[in-house]
Amino acid sequence: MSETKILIVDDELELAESMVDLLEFEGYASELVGTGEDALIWLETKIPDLVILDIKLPGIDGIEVLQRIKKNHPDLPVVIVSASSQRGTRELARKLGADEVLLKPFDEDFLLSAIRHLIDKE
Amino acid sequence: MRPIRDWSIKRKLSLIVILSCSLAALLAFLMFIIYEKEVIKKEMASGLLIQAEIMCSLCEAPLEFNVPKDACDILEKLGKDKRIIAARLYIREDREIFALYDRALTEGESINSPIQDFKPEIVEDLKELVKTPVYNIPPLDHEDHDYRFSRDYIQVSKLFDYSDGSSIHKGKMEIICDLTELNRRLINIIFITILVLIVSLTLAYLLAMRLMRMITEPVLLLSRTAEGISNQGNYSIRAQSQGNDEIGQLIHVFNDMLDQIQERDTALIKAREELEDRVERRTAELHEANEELVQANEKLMELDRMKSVFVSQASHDLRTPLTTIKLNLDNLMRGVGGGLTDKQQHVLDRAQGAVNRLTNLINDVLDLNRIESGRMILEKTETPFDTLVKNVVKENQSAADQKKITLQKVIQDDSYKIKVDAGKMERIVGELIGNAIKYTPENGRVIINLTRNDNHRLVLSITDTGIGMSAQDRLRIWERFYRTAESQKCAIGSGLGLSIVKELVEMHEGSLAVESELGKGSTFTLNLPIQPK
Repeated sequence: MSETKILIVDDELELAESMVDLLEFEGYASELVGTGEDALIWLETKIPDLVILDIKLPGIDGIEVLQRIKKNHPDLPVVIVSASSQRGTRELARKLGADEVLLKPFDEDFLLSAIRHLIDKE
Repeated sequence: MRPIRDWSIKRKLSLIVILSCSLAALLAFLMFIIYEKEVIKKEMASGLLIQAEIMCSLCEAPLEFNVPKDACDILEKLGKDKRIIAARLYIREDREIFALYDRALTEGESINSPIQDFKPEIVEDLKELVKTPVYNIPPLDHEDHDYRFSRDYIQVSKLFDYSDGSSIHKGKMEIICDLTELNRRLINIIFITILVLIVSLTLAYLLAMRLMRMITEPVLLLSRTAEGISNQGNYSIRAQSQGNDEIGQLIHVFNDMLDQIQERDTALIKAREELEDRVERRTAELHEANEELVQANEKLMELDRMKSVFVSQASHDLRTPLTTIKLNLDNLMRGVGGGLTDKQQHVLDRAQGAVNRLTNLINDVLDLNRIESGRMILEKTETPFDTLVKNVVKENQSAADQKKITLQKVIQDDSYKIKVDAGKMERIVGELIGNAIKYTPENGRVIINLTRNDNHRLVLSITDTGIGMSAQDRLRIWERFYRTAESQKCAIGSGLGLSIVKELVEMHEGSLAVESELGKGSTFTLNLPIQPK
């Protein structure tokens, strides 16, 4: 079985890289894209095991990316990380099929357990 | 008929004039009549006495020679005076009539006199002549001469001495004169006087009426002026004075009074205008101030909204770097990049604690912001409150254990099901129990008592043996960021927890109260309706 691959979509490079560090340490391979457009392009050629998606993105926002992913790959698990304290946004994400929604700042353990749970399910 | 006090002055004055004139004239007239009557009587009496005296001397010869018929002839001459109705010559102490003249005997008339019991003797020679008893008027009883008035006649008598040739005797001559003439004269006088009185009173009345205008005209003028002023409210009208009598003075005084009234009226109008001006000015000022207030309020509301947006935005923007810090700290702790020394672990622990506090602070600020802007929404579900409390106590057990604090639950009934936002309620109860543990020194005690009061409300009281607070602090602990001096020494905190809890409790239509004594401990009591509206 090949290495589990996680796609991180976040324009905050520092945060994204911290997540890459964590995931690498925990044995997950991850790749990083900074915009919604890049994510969609990336997804045209490859399919990851899981996507970590920020909602606030330059250009195409996280909600739209989520919609596209769920349209093209309904079974691909998506973990939303959002800084938005607005309940509505998070609820919308859940409604559109997000498997987990985390509010920044989240606990590493929450993220890891969510990932493990979603990947093991497959 | 109207009472006299309601009469017009003119009428009253007329009455006065007529009454006083009539009285004066009547008195004068009466005096005149009385006086005139007396004078006429006196004159008449003295005239008759002279005639009687003449008759006496004329009758001396017939008496001396005892010829009564001659004496009668002499007396008859008196009949030429139409007023004289009888004459008598008495002799022998008035007992016998020597001679007489009587108009009744000559003309068949008789004088009207009261019948009296008087029957004198008559000398023999005359008995033939005198047949009818007409001598019923007795002679006057007196020494010398006298007269007497009765209603219809005057009786005059004169004493005299006569000789019958041998001796001297006393005789008496009497003349009776009719008063009808005199009375008629008096009646005429009375009649004429009454006529004159009526004419003069009428003239006096007419004159008075004319003259009274001098008095009533100015009074009427004054009255009309006053009426005009009263009707028009125009105090510049003045009454015209036509003289300097009492009414003239009254008009002067009236005009003076009008001057004063006009002065006051003018002052009053001026004051009123000033007042109106002032009111208008003040109203305008108030309006302006109000406008400013409205604008200020709008500005404040706008600022408040901007603050809300800013807080929301700022918190949001804080979250991302905070997440990065947290992740990196966690990564290091986890061993990303190699193992850590105990000291390094300790340093990272401190940083992690600070990050957690910062995260909580941001969440608290955001919650408050949400409550203030009305965006906090409750998701109420039927919740077993006793279970909720037990769970929260369980969560706090380890914190209590660390400080060797006894957590004691007293839950009297298990069926406390109420409709609340369970998440918010957990936060409320958690904050209260957490605070109790936080501010209670080691080996202390926290009692959690859940019961139901008579008004169908849940009462959760959390009593600790902690640091407590002063009465002043007790009033202020609900304020944002407020922390008592003791709590600051005791533990770290933002001072937002109780503010949020109180707001959340009130959103649930509940109430939160505190009893406390500095150094002894506090009791926070949460009161919730079992069936909220």
